[in-house]
Amino acid sequence: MKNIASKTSTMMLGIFCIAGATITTHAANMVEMQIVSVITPAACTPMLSGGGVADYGTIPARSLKPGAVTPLPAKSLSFSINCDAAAKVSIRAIDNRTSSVIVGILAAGSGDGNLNDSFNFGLGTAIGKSIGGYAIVFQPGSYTGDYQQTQLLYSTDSGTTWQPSTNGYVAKNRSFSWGAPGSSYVSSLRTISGTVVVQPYINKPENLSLSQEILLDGSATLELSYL
Amino acid sequence: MKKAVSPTLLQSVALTLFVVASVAGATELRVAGKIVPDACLPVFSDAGVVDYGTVSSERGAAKILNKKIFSLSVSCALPSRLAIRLIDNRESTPIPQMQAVAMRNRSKKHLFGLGSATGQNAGAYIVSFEPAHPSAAPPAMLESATGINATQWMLSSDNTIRKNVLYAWDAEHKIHPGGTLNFEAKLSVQAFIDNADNTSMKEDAPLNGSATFELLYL
Repeated sequence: MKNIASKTSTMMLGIFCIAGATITTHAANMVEMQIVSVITPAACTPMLSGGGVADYGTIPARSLKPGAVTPLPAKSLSFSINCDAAAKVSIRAIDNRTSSVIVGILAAGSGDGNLNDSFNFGLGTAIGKSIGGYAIVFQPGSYTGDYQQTQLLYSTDSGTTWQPSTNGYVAKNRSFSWGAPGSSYVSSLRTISGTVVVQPYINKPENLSLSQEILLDGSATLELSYL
Repeated sequence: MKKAVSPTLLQSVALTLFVVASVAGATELRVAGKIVPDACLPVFSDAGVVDYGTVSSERGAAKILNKKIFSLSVSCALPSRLAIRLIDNRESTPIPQMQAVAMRNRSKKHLFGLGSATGQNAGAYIVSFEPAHPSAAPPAMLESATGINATQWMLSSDNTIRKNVLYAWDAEHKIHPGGTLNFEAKLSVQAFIDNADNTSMKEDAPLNGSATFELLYL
């Protein structure tokens, strides 16, 4: 039975289940309990096109300008969230390469001082040297929710309050969600789809060991949460 | 038997449950690619094989074989500063004592081994830069004055390639190796086979010289 219960009822059942299990394990006592059904939240799956890989192929070392941060062409991936029932969800990005973040590279490479290091995702290291950084952008105008135009929203307080995102730049301390156009409230949606853009910047060539192959190794987890 | 569950336990379980249930799915975004050292592709005419066919050794004197011309072209994805070096892959086998006439006053630095199954090189060869492409003004040939550590360059006065020397072209005729997208060089191989008396070859033996052109990025 697929049952989309309210958050409260889901939690209550969960409490009794787990409490029961805890007592059984620790006290080896029998607790009378009937499990009527297993209730799970609407299952939502986030997906990226191309296996989630923005592949830049082969970049000749000579294309890096001495003394400068080199921007690579932006690459777009399709991003979608499909739920088996309408749900309110949010996405946040977790940088899996934080140790390779080069302070200020996004601002330097883009010329946009607003792109501080909370937007700066690491491209990994090669021979102990950080390769570069990249920005992740949810292209605001590209998103549809259940095939209707939607408003991209972001929250800096873990989903308590939301506001429209005009540029879609993903900061590590922000959650993103989607609502009706012009609204600041998250909508319950079944299908969300749009474009994620990746914009990498490569470190100055003098700060890299260019006599050997350098593998770009950016990795970020886009984590979906239910609101 | 029933056991009372304390409110504290209830609360902590509820909190745990909420966190577990709230994170529901994830996908990984990866940025991949590789920065490669500047790639230039060297290509030889005739797949890099200089074939003398069947030759016979002579008694009493080294035999000079015909000069064979081949070309080396290098094309780069981006303008690159390059040098080449020629490495003798038959150096471990000694080059026989050949007559001065055959060596044409070339020193051991010029002589590349022709290889042999018997453990002694059947002969040797020299490799020379030939006057470049008739259609283009010949670029200045440079050689590294400091062996394989290319810090100083000078105009090359000798067109025969020596081991452990870097060679570079300079289209601008300046004494430093310039960046290039493509270049083509005509080269010649001149082989000598040793005096038949000096070799232990009694049967057919293949000439099996091998040298590697190493392309260096400066």
